[in-house]
Amino acid sequence: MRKRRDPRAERGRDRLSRSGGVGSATTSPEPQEPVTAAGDDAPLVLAVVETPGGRLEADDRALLGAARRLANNCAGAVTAVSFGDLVDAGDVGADRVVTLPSNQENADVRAALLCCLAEDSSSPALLFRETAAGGDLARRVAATLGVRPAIGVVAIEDDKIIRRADGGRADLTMPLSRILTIDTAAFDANDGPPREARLLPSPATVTGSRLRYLDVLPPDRDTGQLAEAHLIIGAGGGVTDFDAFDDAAKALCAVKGASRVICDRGLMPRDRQVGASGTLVEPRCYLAFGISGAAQHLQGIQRCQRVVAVNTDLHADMVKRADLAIIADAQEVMPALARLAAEMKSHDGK
Amino acid sequence: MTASKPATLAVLVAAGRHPVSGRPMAAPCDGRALGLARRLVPGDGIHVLHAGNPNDGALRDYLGLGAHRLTVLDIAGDADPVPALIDHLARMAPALVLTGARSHAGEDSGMVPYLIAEALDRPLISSVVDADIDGDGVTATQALPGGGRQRIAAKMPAVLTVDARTLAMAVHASARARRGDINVVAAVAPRDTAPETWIEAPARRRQRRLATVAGSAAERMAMLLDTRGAGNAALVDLDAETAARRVLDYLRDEGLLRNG
Repeated sequence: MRKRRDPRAERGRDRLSRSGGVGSATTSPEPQEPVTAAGDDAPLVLAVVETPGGRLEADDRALLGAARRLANNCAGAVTAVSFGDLVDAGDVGADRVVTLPSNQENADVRAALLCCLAEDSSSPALLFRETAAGGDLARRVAATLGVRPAIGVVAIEDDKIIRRADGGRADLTMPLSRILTIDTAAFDANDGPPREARLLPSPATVTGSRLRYLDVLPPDRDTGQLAEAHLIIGAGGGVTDFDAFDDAAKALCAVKGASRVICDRGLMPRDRQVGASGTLVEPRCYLAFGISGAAQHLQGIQRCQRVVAVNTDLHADMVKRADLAIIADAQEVMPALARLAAEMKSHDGK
Repeated sequence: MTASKPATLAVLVAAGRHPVSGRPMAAPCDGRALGLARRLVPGDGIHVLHAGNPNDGALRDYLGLGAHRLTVLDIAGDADPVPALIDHLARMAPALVLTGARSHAGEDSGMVPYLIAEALDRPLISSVVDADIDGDGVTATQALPGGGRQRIAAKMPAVLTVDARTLAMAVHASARARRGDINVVAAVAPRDTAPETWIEAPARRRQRRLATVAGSAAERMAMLLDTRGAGNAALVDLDAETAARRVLDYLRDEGLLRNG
């Protein structure tokens, strides 16, 4: 069976010549692509990336793609700004990198740091992703600097941008603003040569937050919205021990889902159903216990990034769909999973 | 402000539009902001505030959602509502200003609460789904992506923007909507000249960036058609302990065991 390919492992390799991996790639040394450098005094086009899990995701790359469009207009240098360390930023088109302290999570302090950075470098443009966190930071910075931002930009032309307005019913063409939030689904990542990604000094630290960040509560496993969950644990006809299932969900901080069979039997509420007639989910990982994988259920998890299946049937469709499949009885694996996850948590707590 | 006296809350509401028909209605996030305010203090401590046309059909909706008093700052359609709102709020000095994250109508930039927080020098908490008032402080629950919730505390006065994911939607009653009074206050507002240079057109469907799927064209086609092609090694004959360990290792590698 084929191992799942790690897309990060083959960055910079020619994707078209993958004939078994023994061709030109191993016999002749790969020609190093020349690194393009921006001029030393190029104005900084700042793009604030969000790196959940510590790595750039597709939307971050699209944000840098949008920043490149602006930088080409003003002969600027694309600067990736991140809270926390950033690796491989040059490969996705960053000329400069600024890392701000990741331990400061308070939005008002983060916004103050970005204001300092934008003012100190007299940056012509400051780009954010139009997400909850990115949009919040953008609006804080815009309010502090007194700039009318361009929110939800879907296209960048020479000196104009197009953004959605009126609840998505209208396209508004307006002049370029200094602060933009980018609808990253509308932009492509850079496809140019790698950039130098020179690390710039970060601005002086800002203190004195008026917000006090308390605890983070994991999603409620019984009532959490399936559509927004990052980790879903699903029960199918192969699950009979629902107490163990609940324990596993609790230990993993996962939201519970179920197949149609389980909801039909009344073992789980109808709002937990995953599939074509239930919720179409897109978590980062879906843990399927005792789910054979009916076509309608697989349709519901089509956009899951990773699937882990535990099933007794080696030939179930879910096992074929899974990235990690374990042929075992769910009733035995679930308690072991709950126990090990709880152990791991108590170890980390110490 | 003393702890015994209930706090005064201001809820800023926009003239919402139905997403499909365009008919006037309460903006969904603003209706939730009103619902959350009603959870926090008794109804007569809530001042609902709108800047714009007092005859807008959407305003009655807010009365129906339980607004005891609705004040409209009467300003022209092409005026900037923010200075008038700031002026009114500075005099009223409410303990909390609540409003929806976006109006989903008009310019729809979501800047109003930020401009008010900046002008009145108040802390702002965004994407709030729940809140508690405790003495002179507020503890708000912020929605995080992935279904998690972050609790954030701030001293009052403060500004909260309310997320659509809150459970605090008020119930609409037509009788209340018909009975309620709208208090119109004259206000001066400067004309907003920037929108004159903007060009508005009906939204055009744009090509979305496609998710990059691994593999050759044939493999991607196979992935779409059936379950083969995504397959990976199935692990047979593991005992429960080893199997659970493999699952946990996999989740940890994917960075999904962090919020434990």
